[in-house]
Amino acid sequence: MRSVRWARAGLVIPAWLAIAFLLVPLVALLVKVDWAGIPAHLANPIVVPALRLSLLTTSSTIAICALLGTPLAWLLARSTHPATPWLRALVTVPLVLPPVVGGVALLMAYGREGVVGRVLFDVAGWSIPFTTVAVVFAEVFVALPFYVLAVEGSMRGLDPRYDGLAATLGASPWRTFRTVVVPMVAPGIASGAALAWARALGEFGATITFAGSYPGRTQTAPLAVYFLLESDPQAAIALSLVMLLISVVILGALRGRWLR
Amino acid sequence: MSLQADVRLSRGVLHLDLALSAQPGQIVAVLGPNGSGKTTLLHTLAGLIRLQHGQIHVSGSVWDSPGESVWMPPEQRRTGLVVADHLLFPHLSVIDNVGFGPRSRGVPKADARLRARVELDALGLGDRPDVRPRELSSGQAQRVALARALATDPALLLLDEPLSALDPTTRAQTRADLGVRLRAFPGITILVTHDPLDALSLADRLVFIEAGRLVQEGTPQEVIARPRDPYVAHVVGLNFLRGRRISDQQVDVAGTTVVAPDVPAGGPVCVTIPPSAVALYLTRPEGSPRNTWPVTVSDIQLVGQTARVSLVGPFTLAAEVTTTAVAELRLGIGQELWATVKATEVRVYPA
Amino acid sequence: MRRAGGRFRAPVAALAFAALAASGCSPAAGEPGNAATRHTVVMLAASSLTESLTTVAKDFRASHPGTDVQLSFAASSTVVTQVNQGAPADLIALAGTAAAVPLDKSRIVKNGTRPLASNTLEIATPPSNPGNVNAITDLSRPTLNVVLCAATVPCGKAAAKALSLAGVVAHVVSYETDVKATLAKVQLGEADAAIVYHSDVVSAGARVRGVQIPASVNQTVDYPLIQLTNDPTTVEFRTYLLSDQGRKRLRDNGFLTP
Repeated sequence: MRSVRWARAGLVIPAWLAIAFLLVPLVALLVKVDWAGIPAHLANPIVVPALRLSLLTTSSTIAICALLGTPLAWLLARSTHPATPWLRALVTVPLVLPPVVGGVALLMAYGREGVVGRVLFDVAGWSIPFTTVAVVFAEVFVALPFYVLAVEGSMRGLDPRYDGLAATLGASPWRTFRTVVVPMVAPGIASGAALAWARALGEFGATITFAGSYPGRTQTAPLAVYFLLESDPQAAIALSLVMLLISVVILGALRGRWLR
Repeated sequence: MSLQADVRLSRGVLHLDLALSAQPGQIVAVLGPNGSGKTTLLHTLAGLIRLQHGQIHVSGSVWDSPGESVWMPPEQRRTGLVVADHLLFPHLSVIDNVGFGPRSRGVPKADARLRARVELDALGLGDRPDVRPRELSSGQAQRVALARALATDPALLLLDEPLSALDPTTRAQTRADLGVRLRAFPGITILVTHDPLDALSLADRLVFIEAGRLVQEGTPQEVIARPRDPYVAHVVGLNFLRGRRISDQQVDVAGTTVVAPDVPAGGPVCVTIPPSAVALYLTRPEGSPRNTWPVTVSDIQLVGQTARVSLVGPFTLAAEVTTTAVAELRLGIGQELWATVKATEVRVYPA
Repeated sequence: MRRAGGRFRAPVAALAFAALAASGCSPAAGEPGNAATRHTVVMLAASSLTESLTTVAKDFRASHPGTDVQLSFAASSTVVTQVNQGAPADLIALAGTAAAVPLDKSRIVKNGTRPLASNTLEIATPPSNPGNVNAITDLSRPTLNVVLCAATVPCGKAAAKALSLAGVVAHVVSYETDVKATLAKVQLGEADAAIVYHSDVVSAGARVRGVQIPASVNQTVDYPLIQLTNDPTTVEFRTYLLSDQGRKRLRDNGFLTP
């Protein structure tokens, strides 16, 4: 069975190369950090506000993704309309769009001179750019596709006969969705939310283009890391480490519980 | 709460066109080969598929009438559905599964659980209400599915091959439990199956569907005595031939004369012969049987102590002989034999 | 009959291919060393020099056939970080002598620093002036969207000093990564006003409207030109930059030259 062993080596070596490629930068981060000085570095005045802002905005983003994305995923999963694959492709666009391009697009839509933004400004005096709301807009724009696609995949795997059965038992479509569909795709929802949250946490290009960067209001953790890199590199590394730890903890917790 | 249904619709290659009616307390078995439209029929009654023509009335209220643009969605109909692979909600306990129907109809949680309890007890499942479906055996799961369907007090109980996914031993036991429970059910039961034993042991009436159309219906006794279709005859286990009357004692079947008593007047007739009445001989026998034909063995199936021998001759026949006979005759495929049937064993009735 | 070396053929072939591919790569431009054979200059510069340096480089290429100038623009602080981390560059130009302080001195050639040009600050508003900004004191109005460069970049430091001297607390809504990003917010109509360089207002032309900052509070930013390698083409380009032709281009774009 020489050929089998060969095939295995042929697969294992690239696999380990891939693992090394991903792990080495993370390990380097741990090695280069000035462990003793972390508390002092994290005391840099822009660090804590940035972390707090990031946690606030990403939580809002996930809530919006769940509220808007779950019904959309259901629609995509169950619809037999011929336009459905097109709609699905449309939802995927922000995934392949460079984030800065996404930011520009958001400005064109919701900026003060934007298609929708101009109406909002003229009628209600609301301006979205440079606000925390703008940060949430940018994060939802990039994270929602992740959520929808993950949840849709999970819903497609759900035997459609359950819907009909629940209906014969007297459940309205809304009740069926709430008490049968959602609990049964809960693992998919959890992993979709985790992916979306991670994407939102790391969002930079769309945020800085659409929302700008102002400490405590729009300067999220990734933006703070970027700005710290030139003024206080050790603080940038320390903040990066904190973000890494938070991500690992949350993703690890979700992984164990939902993705058995 | 009677059922009057006139079901007409087309789905792909299936063209369903039949009328069905039933009275409360009746158990109607619907049989037919795969693809004949049995499940589609159930789904129209449940409201999961809409009719294109016709109507469905249950106790005077209209459930589906395309002509009048009336359609009642499934959640408003009083139906209970049980499928072959139970489809219990995996994230709910047994008692919550059974209580799902009442809860969906607005019954408070505690009352729903009580109702569920009653149904589970009636099926002997009251002892483990809080387990998850994955911990149940297949037989138990099917009974829970039945309890769940009955907990809503349906007017129409729809069973879609409820026993087909069970292994033979479990199937026999579950069939027995099902029979007991169905007798006590006051509504109408429509049982779709392709297992003759289910139909004959559980149902008051049998309805046979082929290619979307009704080919025969009647009580088990009627159908067993007088099948009017090859499939029906196959289900009840009889040899089935079509022929024309020649005289009071003779029928012409595809050019061969078959001798039988009491051939009715009028041209076309059905001829049935029980497989057990077909005797096999190595050489042409002398003596009384006047139905003697040369045949060739095309297949032999051993079922316990008996063997079912498929024969090809002037027409195809199945004979049922003991395994001893198989040995004595040294039966093998391709062997040429003589088959005889006593005239008195042949039954003839109008087509 | 099995060939003993048979099982190694695939990986050996792969390694050989990889080695070939690697050797086929041309040496990175800007690599110090083969001075005699190279005709390319790699220059990193502050983003405020974008338009002017691009034009000068084009002139140089036209008048010195066979040469090439590769330009890359970013905030001065970013340029310094990149050079300190080993980015291959022959020349750099920074906004403000203070920006050169963190630079790794060992990379600079002897006497390699010369003043290239200087810049002053100016307020930029969209052409329609939606915020009605006409003086530096207007910037404190709370209804305005004012955008500045981040304090870590020279433009931001200078703007902060000018505002403090003027006694104005601007209603800032965003601190951008470099002066071009700051200007972009004005050009897109999202910002009512921004403090950028005079050269940026000049190069934006009709897309932007300029508002003068009084000389008493305005800051001058000097741009040092720093030489990192000694190869002939680099020296040629440096000379060209500091010559009358180079300086004229810079002045056309709003810079002041010594």
